[in-house]
Amino acid sequence: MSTRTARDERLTIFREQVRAFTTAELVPRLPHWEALRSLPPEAYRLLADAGLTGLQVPRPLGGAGRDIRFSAVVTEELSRGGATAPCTSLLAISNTVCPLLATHGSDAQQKRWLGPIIRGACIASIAVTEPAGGSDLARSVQTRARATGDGWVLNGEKLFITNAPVADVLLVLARTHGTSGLLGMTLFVVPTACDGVSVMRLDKLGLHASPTGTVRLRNCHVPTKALLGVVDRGYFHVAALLEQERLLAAIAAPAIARACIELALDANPGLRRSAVALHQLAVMLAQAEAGRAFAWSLVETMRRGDANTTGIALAKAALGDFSRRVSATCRELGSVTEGPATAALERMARDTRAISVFAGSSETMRELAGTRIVAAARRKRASFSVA
Amino acid sequence: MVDAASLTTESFPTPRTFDGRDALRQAADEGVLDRCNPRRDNDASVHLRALVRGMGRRGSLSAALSLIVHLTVPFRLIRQFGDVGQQRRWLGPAVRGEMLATALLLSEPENGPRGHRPVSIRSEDDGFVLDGSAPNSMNVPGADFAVVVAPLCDDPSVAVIAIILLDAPDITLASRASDETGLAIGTVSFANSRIPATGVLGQVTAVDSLLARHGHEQRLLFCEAALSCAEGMLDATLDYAIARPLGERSLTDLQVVRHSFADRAADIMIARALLDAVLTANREEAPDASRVSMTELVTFKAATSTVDGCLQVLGGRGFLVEHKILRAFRDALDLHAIFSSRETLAEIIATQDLQ
Repeated sequence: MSTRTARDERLTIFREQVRAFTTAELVPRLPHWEALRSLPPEAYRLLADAGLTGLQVPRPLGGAGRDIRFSAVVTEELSRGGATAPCTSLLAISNTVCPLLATHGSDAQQKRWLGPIIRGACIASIAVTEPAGGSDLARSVQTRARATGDGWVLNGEKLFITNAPVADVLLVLARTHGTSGLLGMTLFVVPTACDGVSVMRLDKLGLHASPTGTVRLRNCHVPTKALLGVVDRGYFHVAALLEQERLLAAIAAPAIARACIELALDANPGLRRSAVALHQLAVMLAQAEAGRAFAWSLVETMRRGDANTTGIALAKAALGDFSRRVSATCRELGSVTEGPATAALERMARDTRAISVFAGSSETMRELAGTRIVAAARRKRASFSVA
Repeated sequence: MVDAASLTTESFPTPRTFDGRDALRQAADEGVLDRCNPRRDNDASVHLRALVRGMGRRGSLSAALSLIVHLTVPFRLIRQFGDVGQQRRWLGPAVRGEMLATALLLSEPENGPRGHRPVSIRSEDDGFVLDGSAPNSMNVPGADFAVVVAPLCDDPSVAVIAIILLDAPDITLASRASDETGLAIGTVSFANSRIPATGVLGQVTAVDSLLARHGHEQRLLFCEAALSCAEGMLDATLDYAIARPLGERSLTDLQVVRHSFADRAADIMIARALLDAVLTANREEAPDASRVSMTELVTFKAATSTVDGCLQVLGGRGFLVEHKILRAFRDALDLHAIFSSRETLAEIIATQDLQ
């Protein structure tokens, strides 16, 4: 067996395991978690026991040492099973908090936090977004960290923070120099039990089984050892992961679309007798397949260490908007009777709405991609002129 | 591999009316035709894809489609079923650009516009006779010979594969009565046209799988041509928009224009990813009909929406028949009309994946 074939085989086996886990452990509990409007601690332990929280953390640090493709499989399978909300909470830990601690954390930080997070004994969250803006961190981050003799004092407010209402620890991005710009921001490890930290839960349209909150920091004092990574370079630590977050959102979108198409047919068997409805679903299915192929081509590119910022931005915008349209259409087509399939369709239609909004809205993504496309064409013209 | 960059800027222009022979002659003159001959090189399909891509990017969609029809099904069937003499008789001139081929795959004779007698093939004496007409056939007029695959009248489970010269007096060729299209399409009509014994390649029972295998390759190359055309038009329009002054600035300083380019680029990239995945899979095993139909649906949609979006950005210039965007727009609009309709493709996908 060639190395490549063996790798693909491992991915296939892993997919089957994740699919079985989603079906057996997550899907039956979703209605309860939805009603709770949160994800209880035992859910995080469940995800940890399945080996999903430390998926991309190197083995010596207690993780599974997998690459981005395995995270893509997890995202795809959980999304397809309708577990978009637990997936959102999981990815905030497995693909943001854990990689940051694994890459930039001190030995003490890794021992104190990373191990327990991977085991599901501790819930973590990353606090980056602020009320003044969204993914435009260069301008929007106003939370300040002031150096004192024995540490730092943090003041500010964070908004739309996944897992915050149940988190034990936060990774907070705060400005340590200047008032704007990409330089001058630093990451800190802040336990939620610290004096000066208060968290408030937010009610949302969907993703009910993924707790979201605001975090207020009022004269919150943390010791020097709370510093994560390099002072003033926090944005750059986070930026690389932001791209991965967008790519995984693009992976989720076609999976959700495909699930909605199948649910619509389950919820309303009469659709199979309507050529018009079937053709509508067939066209959406084709688009979902194409979207999936595109998102996976970007995953392979990222795995090779190449960044495709333009492609990822376009994928997130186009596929996010597409899954929103599909889930809304399928909800209309399928919602003729009450039942589990109809309930799942309604939940997915609500949950999917978030994809076009978080981690950079569709408009922000189009602006980012459009500007880069024009800039690349200008560079090409300039090089031809010189030649 | 055919070096697309070696094609001159003026290669394969798309005139107002188009004859498949033009493309054939130019392909032969450019020296690229022989490299796409499956007899010569195992990488012929790679060369052919590169050629189609290069032509498509230059906006010569109609020429690319003509060459695809010439170089795929007729070549494959003659190679698979023809004896040495038949291969020498037909493939030699075809690969030298001296004869243009078309393929008439008549697996569903009841289809097509009303008023046409579907083509039937029947055995008579010790040979076969063709009757009826086949509308929307590529490279007609212009083609010198056709490879015909048609079920036998008295035993539809058997299909006859035959080659027939199209200059016989009992065969009529008519171009589509419209100058709205740049594609080389028309109708072939047979009036009890006799297929000589030397023209019969063989008879098969598993005609569906045969047509699927060769037809899928052709359809995926149509997708490549359409998508490459859209990519080329998008690049050209981007260049235009950057250079187009808007007061002190350029057209691309308008946010709405940048977003329009982003949307079109997304359409193309998504379609490209599916096409590449299916073409890669096609090298190992033939993709199923549903997957090919999905690819056709998505790539044709991306091509038409992109060319339409480019025409919009170009404004009045894009509305002139002299502009290559308009030709690409006109040809792209015909994709679903000439090849599989959206409804047919959706039906195939629905039947296979949703029922």
